[in-house]
Amino acid sequence: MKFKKITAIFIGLSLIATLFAGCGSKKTEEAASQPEVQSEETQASTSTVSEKKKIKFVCWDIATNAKEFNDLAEEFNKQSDTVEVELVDIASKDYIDKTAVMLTAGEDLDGIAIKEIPQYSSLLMKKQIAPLDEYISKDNFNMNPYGANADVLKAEGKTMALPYRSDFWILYYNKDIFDKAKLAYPTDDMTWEQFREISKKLTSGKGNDKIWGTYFHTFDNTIADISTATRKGDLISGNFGYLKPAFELALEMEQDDKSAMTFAAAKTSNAHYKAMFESGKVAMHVMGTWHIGQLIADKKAGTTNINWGIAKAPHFAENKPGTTVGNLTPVALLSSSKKGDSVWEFLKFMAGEKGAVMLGQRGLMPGYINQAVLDAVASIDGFPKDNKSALETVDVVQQLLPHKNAAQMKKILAEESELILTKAKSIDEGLKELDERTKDLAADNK
Amino acid sequence: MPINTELRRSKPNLTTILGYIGLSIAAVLVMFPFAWMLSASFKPDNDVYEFPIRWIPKIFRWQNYVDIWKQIKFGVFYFNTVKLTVIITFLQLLTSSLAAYAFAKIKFKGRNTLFIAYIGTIAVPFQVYMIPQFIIIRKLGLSDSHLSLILIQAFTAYGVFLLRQFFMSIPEELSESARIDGLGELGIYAKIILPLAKPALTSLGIFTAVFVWNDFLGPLIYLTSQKNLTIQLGIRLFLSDYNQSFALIMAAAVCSMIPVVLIFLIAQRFLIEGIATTGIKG
Amino acid sequence: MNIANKDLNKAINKKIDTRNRIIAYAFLLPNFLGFLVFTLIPVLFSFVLCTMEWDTSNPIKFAGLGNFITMFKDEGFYISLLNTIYYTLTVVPGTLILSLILALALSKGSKITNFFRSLFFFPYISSLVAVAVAWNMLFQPDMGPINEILRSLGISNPPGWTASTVWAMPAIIFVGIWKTMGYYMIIYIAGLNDIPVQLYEAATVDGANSWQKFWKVTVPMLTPTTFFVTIMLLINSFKVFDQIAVMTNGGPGRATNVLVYYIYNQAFVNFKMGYASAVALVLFALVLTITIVQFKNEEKWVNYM
Repeated sequence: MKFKKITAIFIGLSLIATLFAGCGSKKTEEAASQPEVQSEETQASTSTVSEKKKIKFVCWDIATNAKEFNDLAEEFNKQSDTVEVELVDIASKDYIDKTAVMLTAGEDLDGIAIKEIPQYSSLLMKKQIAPLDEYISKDNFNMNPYGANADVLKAEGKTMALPYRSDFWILYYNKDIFDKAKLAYPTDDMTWEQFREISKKLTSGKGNDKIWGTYFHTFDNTIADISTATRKGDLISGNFGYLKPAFELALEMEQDDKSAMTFAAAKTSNAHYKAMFESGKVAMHVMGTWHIGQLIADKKAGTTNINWGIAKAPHFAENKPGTTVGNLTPVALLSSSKKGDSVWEFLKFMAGEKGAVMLGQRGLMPGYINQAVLDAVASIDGFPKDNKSALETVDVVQQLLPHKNAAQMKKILAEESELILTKAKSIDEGLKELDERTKDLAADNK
Repeated sequence: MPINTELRRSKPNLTTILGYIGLSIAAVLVMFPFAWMLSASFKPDNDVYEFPIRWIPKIFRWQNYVDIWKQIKFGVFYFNTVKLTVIITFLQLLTSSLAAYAFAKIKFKGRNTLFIAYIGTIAVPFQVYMIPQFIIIRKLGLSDSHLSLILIQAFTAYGVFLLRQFFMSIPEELSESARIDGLGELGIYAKIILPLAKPALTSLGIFTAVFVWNDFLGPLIYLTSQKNLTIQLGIRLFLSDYNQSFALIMAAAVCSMIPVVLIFLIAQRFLIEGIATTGIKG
Repeated sequence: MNIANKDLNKAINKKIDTRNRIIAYAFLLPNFLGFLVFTLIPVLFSFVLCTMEWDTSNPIKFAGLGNFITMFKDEGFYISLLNTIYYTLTVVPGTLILSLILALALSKGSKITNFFRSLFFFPYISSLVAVAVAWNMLFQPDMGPINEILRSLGISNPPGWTASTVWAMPAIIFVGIWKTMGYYMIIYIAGLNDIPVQLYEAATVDGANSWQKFWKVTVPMLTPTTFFVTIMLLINSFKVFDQIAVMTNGGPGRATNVLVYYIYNQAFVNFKMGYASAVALVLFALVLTITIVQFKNEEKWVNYM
């Protein structure tokens, strides 16, 4: 008796759940087939309605660390007669998880700023972003200023996103520390061997007065990127032997020379490159171009009085100066949006020349590069004008290319790098493990 | 008898003193991180990472406590958190105590099975069912509203479980004699069980309030607009790949702890008002 | 009792039964409705997903036992399972014993006990994001105060804590116990104060000493509380996530990668919802088995008086 009733209840509930599952999949099917419906609808509405169309664009930290989104949206709203963009602000730490849940539940969002290539890859895989070719050809939009980056964001021949920002690694140095040590400032043609030697000379002091020659931040790929610039391998296809010189360099500097804080110390003390450099504890470090904007802003705000300069990132002897690793920040149209035309207007603005100049004025490197944009960056008050050449690159290798396993590879790389850098594994063991785990991953996700 | 009470009074004295010494040492260890938090909250951001730790800041930067209210909408986040905490805690206490009474004091068929189903869901990590839950909330048109959080957090199995355990330890004779006196189940619940269960209700109240106050994943998923965020989400705004302001995080954390400490100081009086102290004969 | 009476009793019992059931359902309804819609249905849905493949966007595909097969072949699953068991086996007894000792010491109301109680409760009410940063600073291997103290005590090579594959888990465990000990102390205090004084008086009359009273009165009368504390500790230890997410991110390597952290990564980094649900089902089965065993024990133990 009792048992029967329980089974009945259970079956009932499971039915509800399956119904539910049915709904879920129906919704996503609709979403997948939406692009066709989309354009008709927008055409119909633009002809009848004269007031501004509202679109929602998701991005991060507009109140604290990424105020440029706000600037862009305000400027766009001022200039556009047809479209009004509303920003949906999400904390950058939780950006990927939170946007994923929102998109799954079908929140009405129209456009998205994408934090990194792994997120771009999963959006692509989940068919949550829509191709832009139709709009590009309609407007005859010039893709040339994006250079090779335009191709990075193509899938099956279609442009799926615009490169809004394109940061790359450069070298930052503290002039005062160099002056004190009576060493010449770093030049654009510095090699990693020279970098190591100079770092050793710049290291001094103890305890709270310690000055480090350099600092490697605890990003997942800080060290790996050093080798990725050589184009001898990449983070997706396996065969990680090519990363060995990078890990050797980092470990020698951290463990033997003691010219860089160890990974373990940096991780456990929650060290941050900005505080390390701005408080004068680090003589020079390699960091993304976004750091320019931070330094300018903080100096203006008076939180630091550092006297800084920039140069091209160091390179291995066999490569040319100006060889470095870069990272794209794409912006895209969500396939669930019914307002593709309006979203395109905003994308075109923020990732186009106008937006690029605005980013440049904030000290950020846009994806859209031409002379006007470069001038904008170099002419900001507080930019080290003598070091303009640091921003000229010869070869910017993408840190990670779009791939269905990109997010998982990044996680695996982070785990194994951590083991190598904390000396829980030797470099060879760690890299071998990386190879094996990549193989397993490829087999799993066939 | 007199000998016995005397023994009780004199003998524990030494052990009591030793006990307090032990407790004091333990308390110092327990409070260690808070000393760091407090000290960091008064430092300029770039000094927070200094080693060896400087416990008394070189420069006192009181401005941190001003900045947190200016840089983010901390006042709004504070208000939201208070509002959610009060409503959810009240609903949780009310509905859980009713359900727990049914589980503990009324014999009905399927009781144990249903109870296991309740506990069972506690064992499923939120991370797994938050997507389907979010879809339901979204279908009800409630995403990015405080109501969504209230609905998902006010009816948890946890509260029912906790109260059931306490209700079970209340002697059956009490409710039996009330039944003979003609009191209905609702009467027994309100007049006998609830007053006796003050410690349990207080523990659940504290638990729920602290949980809601410090919850992070729930608000992260359910709240989006700045006007709806809670303190814990607000604190995260000081943390990103491009920047981290630990001084401000610590200042915000210190401010956010104050009301919870006050609630605890007030509520702890009820914790010791059990059957033992109310003097009802078992 | 004769046979006629038995039949009558049966009828009365049946009547009481129906009446009871209606009352019970009425009492349960407000909570159950919310529970059903916002917890039970989503949970059941995630169970259904175990046999599916779903990336949270494209249509759901049936996968049969595929997820389970992948799971049993995945090294990452075993690593996180073992880590979870390690964490649980240390945190549960550790917290249980410490919180009971604190509760026994602080169960009576006085100014001093109130003060201590508040101090021990402090960690529980603190925001984890903030205290995790604080703990990381204290555990800092080279210059952090904990290792400074250890060195001054003559330990020349103190542990690397969160930067070491061996010591990261003990650090996490330490913080886990530190954080929740105060809460379970409160539960135990509430439980202790629910024990009728008369029982102790009766025991005193029978000439029992404190030790005997503890084992003969306190422990049995605390069984429902202990049952609750054990189950909650078990469940929460199996579900540990927050500390790890803010202190070590599962590292170094995978040294502190636990089941829920693994599940979260599968669901929100790799977008394998079906697979994540399958792992969650294993977690659920583990916890449920332990709970049912404990539950049966409780029925034997609990004294209805």
